[in-house]
Formats: sequence, C-alpha cells, structure tokens
Amino acid sequence: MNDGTQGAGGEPRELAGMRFRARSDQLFSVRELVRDTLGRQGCDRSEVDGVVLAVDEACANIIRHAYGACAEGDIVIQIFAQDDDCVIRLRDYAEPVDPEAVCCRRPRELRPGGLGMFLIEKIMDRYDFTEAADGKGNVLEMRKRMGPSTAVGA
Amino acid sequence: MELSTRTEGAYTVVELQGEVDLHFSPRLRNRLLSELSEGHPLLIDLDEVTYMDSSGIASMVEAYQLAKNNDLDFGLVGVKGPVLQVLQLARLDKVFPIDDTVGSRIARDAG
Repeated sequence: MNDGTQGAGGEPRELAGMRFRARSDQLFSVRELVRDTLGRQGCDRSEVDGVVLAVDEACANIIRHAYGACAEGDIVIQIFAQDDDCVIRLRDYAEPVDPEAVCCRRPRELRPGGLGMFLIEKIMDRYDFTEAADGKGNVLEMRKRMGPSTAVGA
Repeated sequence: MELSTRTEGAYTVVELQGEVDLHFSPRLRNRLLSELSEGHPLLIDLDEVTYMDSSGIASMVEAYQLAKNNDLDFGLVGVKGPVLQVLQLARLDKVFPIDDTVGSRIARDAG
C-alpha cells in the first residue's frame, strides 16, 4: 500500500470514500468501490477478495443489527492507506452498539448465521468499535497489512 | 445475480450466476428450501458464482441440514475462487459434499 509518498508511521491517506443508504441493494456498489480502490493500488487479488468480504460482512451487520428492521440511515465508508496497511472505516448513525455484545462465533457446529464477525476476525489484522466522536452512531475501523509484493512502489 | 433450475438424473440442479450477498440470499434460501420441501435431491452449481458472503453460506447450511433431516441427497459443484475461499475461512469446505461437476457427482453416486 505504500506508494513511496509516506514514511514509516505516516499519516493515513484517504484513497476513496462513499456515503450510502444502509440497504442490502447497496452492497454491490460498496464491494466494487473496495475492489477498484485496492486493485488500483496493485494489491494482490486474493487479499483484495478477503478485504471485500470483510467490508461486505461489516456493512451487512450494520444493516441487520445496528439499524435493524425498524430503522433507516446511512453508512459512510472511507478507505485509507497507511504505510503497508489498508484501513477501512465504517461509520453509521444508528444507536450506539455495545462492542462487548458483538459476538464472534467459531464455526464449531454446523448452523446457519453468525459467521460475519468470525470472517472479519479471520481476514483483518485488527478491528475496533468506537462511538462516533459526535456521539451519533458508531465507527468500525478495520486494518490489514497488505503483502509487500503488492505495494505500488515496490 | 441469476438463479435457474434444471433436472439432471435424480437431481434438481440450482444454478447460480454472479454475486450472492445479503440482498440475494433470501431468494436463494427460499428456492433451496422449497425444492427440498418437495422432496427433490439437490445440487447447487456454483461454477459461475464470482462472490459469496456469509448470508449465502448460511442459506446453503440451512438447506444441507434440511436435506439431511429428510434423507435427501445434497451437494455443491463448481466450487472455486472466492466461494472456495469463504468456505475455507468458515471451515465448511470439508463439511459440505463437494464435487467438481454435476456429472462427476452423478458418476460417484452410480459408482
């Protein structure tokens, strides 16, 4: 992800962003945005596929659980490069979510549902839930180190 | 996302094309459960699927459970690329019966 314009510990550089309605019919466009943005950075295809899946799962969780069936709202996605990391920030405007209540089910048993957070945890190096700075909504920040062979400036 | 069905041997083959996500998976789930409820052995052909998220996986898990409960044959064919990646991440690639093609599954059944 490092294009040679930033050194170690550099500030995150925003590559792309979008605000969209928290509806399932918007997920295709979100995936395209992530694919195109990371593809332009020269990232490895399988790594990009993983990040696309993690972002899709996170957005689906916001749609299903943060907003739920009775609420509508927006999601803002921002994609950053920071050193060799890809950083994805998702902000919603739903009621605050208790991070402790967001479960990550290990697929030890065969049953449908509940795999989204498990997949995010498997794919991304770290993720953090925080309350939005203005107190209106939640921020999920996910980070993944992209392989050195995929760096644009390598 | 496109969904179509055809009959091959004893199987109803549900053929998918494109990307399976939260928007499409309710339709997939309904079709799979409907076919199984009518007593049809089922194969899901994923050869033309370019993306699948956990909601698609959950639909297939639910269908597989219904098939087992009703003693109906069930399986996946054409699993590759991002679909294989998500099945492996979810540790389900060794759980579902998977064959390369519909033909190879039918040949294995006859074996």
